[in-house]
Amino acid sequence: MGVIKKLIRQHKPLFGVAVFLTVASVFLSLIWNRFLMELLDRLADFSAFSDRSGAAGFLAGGIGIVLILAFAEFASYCMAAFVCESFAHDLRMGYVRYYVRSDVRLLSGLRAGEEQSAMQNELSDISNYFRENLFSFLKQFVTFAVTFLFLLHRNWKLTLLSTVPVFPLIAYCFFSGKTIKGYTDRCQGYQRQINGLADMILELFPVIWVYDAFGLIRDSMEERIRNWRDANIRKEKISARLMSLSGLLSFVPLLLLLGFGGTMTARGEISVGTFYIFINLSGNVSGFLQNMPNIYAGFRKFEASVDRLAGRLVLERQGEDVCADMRSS
Amino acid sequence: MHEFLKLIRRLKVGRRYMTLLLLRSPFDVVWTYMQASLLRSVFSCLETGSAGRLAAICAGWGLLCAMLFLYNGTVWSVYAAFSAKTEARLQTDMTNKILSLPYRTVQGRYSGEWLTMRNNDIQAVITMMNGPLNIPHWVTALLNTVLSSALMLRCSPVLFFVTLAFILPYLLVSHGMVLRRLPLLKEESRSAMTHITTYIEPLVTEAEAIAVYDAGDMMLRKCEQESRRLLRTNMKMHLRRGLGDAVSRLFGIGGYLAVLFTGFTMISGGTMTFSELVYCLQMRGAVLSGPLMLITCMSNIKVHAVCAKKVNEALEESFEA
Amino acid sequence: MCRYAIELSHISFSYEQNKILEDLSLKVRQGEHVGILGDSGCGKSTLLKLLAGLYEADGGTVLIAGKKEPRRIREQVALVMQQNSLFPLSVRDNISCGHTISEKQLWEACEGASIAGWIASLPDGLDTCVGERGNQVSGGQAQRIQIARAICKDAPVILLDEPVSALDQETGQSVLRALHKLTAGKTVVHVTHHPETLGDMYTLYHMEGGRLTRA
Repeated sequence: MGVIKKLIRQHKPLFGVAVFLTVASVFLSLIWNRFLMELLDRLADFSAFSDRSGAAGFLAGGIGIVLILAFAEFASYCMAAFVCESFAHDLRMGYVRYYVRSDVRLLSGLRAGEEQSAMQNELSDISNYFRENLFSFLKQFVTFAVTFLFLLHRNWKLTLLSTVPVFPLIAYCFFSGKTIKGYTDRCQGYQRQINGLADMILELFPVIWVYDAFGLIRDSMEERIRNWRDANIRKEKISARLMSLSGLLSFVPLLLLLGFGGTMTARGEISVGTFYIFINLSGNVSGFLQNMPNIYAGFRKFEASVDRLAGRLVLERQGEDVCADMRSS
Repeated sequence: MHEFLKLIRRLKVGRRYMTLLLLRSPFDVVWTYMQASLLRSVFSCLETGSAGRLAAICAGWGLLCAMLFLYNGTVWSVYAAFSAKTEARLQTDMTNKILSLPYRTVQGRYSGEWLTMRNNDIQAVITMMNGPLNIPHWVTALLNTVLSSALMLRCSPVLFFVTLAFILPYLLVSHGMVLRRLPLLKEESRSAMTHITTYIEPLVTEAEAIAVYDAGDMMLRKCEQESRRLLRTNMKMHLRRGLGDAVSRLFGIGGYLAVLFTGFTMISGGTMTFSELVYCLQMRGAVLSGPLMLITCMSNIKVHAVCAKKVNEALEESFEA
Repeated sequence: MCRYAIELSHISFSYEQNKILEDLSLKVRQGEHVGILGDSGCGKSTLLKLLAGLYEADGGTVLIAGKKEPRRIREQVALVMQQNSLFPLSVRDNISCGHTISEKQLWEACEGASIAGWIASLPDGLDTCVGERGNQVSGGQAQRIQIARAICKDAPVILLDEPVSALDQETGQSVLRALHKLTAGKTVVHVTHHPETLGDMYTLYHMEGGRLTRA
């Protein structure tokens, strides 16, 4: 994790602005939902908009929120992307710096193809994770926290009712995530074997030609691909079944919300607007909770990739060596 | 898309692929319809004061939902297995192709290019085939858009046209400013990535020369230039995507507001009930998200098609001996 | 039966607009040992790849044991390279290259390359995997496996590309001894920076500007 901390430290102001914009866009989204609830309640009570100016004012307010929300979305997306791209650039340069500064004897023991593959695979994985997940998770988390507090504030009974059934679901997601991970690891092991042989083919092409070793290489590759394919099919089938079941189970909280929330509305305990907003927003809470095992698993995988590469990253800024390299070892 | 289909035809799995694709496609639209109908039933109960029926309604729809997910899980697992087999086929064919090429042809390309082909391009083709927001979702989204539109049109033509009035400008803006530009930028990004990867090779193989002639700084500068070029290209892509997101928010929520106000005008005029409005709002979600998904899928497909083209080219590379 | 094992006449070869070899001619008699010296980038490796049938000349003719077609040429040569060129497979596969070769022949090749003792000491013998990129074996052992591979092929022409330059002196000497066994009675083209690794019987050529001159 040292690498990520260093990257954040190196881009502190940019990172701060990106976090601020992300959080701001979440709050704006909540303001929109608050507005929607108010609007539904007023529209349900037709007399509330008996005068035209009241309705026009409300409509103008809505349009204003929509415009600000759209702009905030654009700004937060672009800022987050720029921070992530800057991180990716630093990682690439850290990787290059490692080679430039490494001892020749150490480099003579490396294979160029393997290093290039690492650059493409591991580094791309890390950069893609930054791009796709870093701010997206932050946004999901803030959305979850803010929405949960908002819903609790509106009606704590209904909030708990729609949230508590999610916990067994989290356990299920954790179990299924672990199962899928086991299969994925096996697949990756076979994939590594294929990559090793493929890199070798490019490097030893002359030898394969001179000794007519095509048959040997082809058979060996086919065997590795077969092993990988069988493992991959098992993984894909299990994933499809487990995730389908997870989709079904995630429907349960909504059913409960509709059943109990509907009854509460009928009894007059909550307004139609509140009931509707609960339906609209409960997904933010349950979705995040359900997704937590996957987020955690994804993060662990990312952390492992970063740790694996940490020894090969020389992160530097303004002449100061703040590297995560362990070349000395 | 053309390149992908060419590849599928080359692998002789076209018919099976189409069948599985069609079997997968109805899930979204049925799911949308079920959710909308469930909400309509719940709010209808509230309107008619028959809250006692709520439990039975929820249980009934829950059962239907279980059947739908059972179907989806079954088809999905067959589809996923098919994709895994196809990927293995592609890997085998690519290896055989490389092995059958003349040495000079293999040497003629940068090693980074071959590795990109194996690590990146084939993966992109499979993502196109089985990944999220690619061909399967494109077909699903198409069906979802058409059928949801038909259902909404049947329920309330007025609300459907209000929805359409917001979707069409969005599609135009999104296509003109985002979708068309992304494949070119992706290609540029890919080329920059290949350049950086290729620079790694001399850092390892020519380490002695770099050390003796103190060429480290020069190599760093070269890599920095390429890396910055990659950053700039990627940022151009992000700006377009960000714009797409913002426009989607603008027309998406703006349209919601318009439907809501129009709907309540109709309710106050007695031509619609609240439960029907809720049903329409749900359907509107699908009518809106369908084209959005279509656009995203098309954009992803176009981006990945660049890789499919590379794979096709590599598999077609002629023996020049 | 042709008189020359290698006949190159008026060979020219370019790589991406750069002329590497120009009007190069060379005749090597059967059983003759030829050493090619020259600076880096002078075209030695390209020449070796032409001799191995890996490249085709842009102009002129290449005849190896009377064969002209690249595929036929490759059947006539064995190659020992400077770098570790082992497949991530077993020792057996690395030596046989997937061809049907009897156990006896394999062990003979190992004897010839002076690795029979070492292989016999391995728990899995010939079936021991050399690891990804041959990382389970030392540099000297890797070169000896390459030599055993070349012995097994029993090609009339042996091409050596700096086979000992990556090894320390002691290992280099023992690999050279194994190479002497391999090259006995064969036609040899040995490309090197180090003339001291060539024996007295070598006819030396110097390569410069894409042309060969007798040293």
